[in-house]
Amino acid sequence: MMVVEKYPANLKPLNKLVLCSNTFLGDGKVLVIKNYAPIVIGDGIVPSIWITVKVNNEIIPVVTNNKSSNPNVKVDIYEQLREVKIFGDGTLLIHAKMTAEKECVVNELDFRPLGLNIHGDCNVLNLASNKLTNNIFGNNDIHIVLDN
Amino acid sequence: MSNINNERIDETVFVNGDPYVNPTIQILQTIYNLEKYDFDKLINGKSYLNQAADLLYGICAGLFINMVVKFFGSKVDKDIIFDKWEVYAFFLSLALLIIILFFDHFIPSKKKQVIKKIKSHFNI
Repeated sequence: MMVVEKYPANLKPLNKLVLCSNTFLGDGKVLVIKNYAPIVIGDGIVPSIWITVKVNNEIIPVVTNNKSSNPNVKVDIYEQLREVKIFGDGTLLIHAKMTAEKECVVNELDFRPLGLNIHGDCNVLNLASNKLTNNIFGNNDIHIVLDN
Repeated sequence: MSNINNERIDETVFVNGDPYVNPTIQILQTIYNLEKYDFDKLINGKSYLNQAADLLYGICAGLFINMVVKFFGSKVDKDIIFDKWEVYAFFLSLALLIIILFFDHFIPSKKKQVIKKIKSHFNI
């Protein structure tokens, strides 16, 4: 059993997340790096986003439930469009949109400014040097583990 | 490196690779806003017991040096008299220090409160 630290306790899980062309079903953890989840998306009027990074072996929350704790990271919420855009120093880090109840799609993702080699668009999800396209991940506790 | 395309996956997928690149954004821990009141408590917020302990450290050190020097001195120079009470004095002050430190550990002080607050902020 993997231990995922600082995973949001008050997360309202999604039923379906389409992350850069890959579909994740169920309420499992989409991506885990060793012992933390860099990106967590939950249900809400707009997608509830948590972004976590690890610096010097310390797990640091950057965005907690759409609230930035870093002065360089800004969270823009568009309630009517049911969208969230998060910018780091002006660069788009993630653009997430609710498409239905408990369903969310992410077509723009770039965590490289945060020091994580995770990025993608509507066609491909890049995790380090791995490319994931059009996969369907069934109900699972943890979908992807990235480790070197 | 692996490419995974058009698959239906029902178990955890392990992908290899270095997840880290050089960040362009400075990742900071949330800054702790130290107020003047808290700062003052850090400097001056010691409990009386803690202040007494500080004094006793000095006394203990003084008595210890006195005891050691007199003990060896009496071996060399017959004029120096080494008394038993000097040993008692040292151990008495040491015992007192330990007792005070023990109670100080359990008694709250403003300084401890501030340190606790800062520690919890940084998850230490």
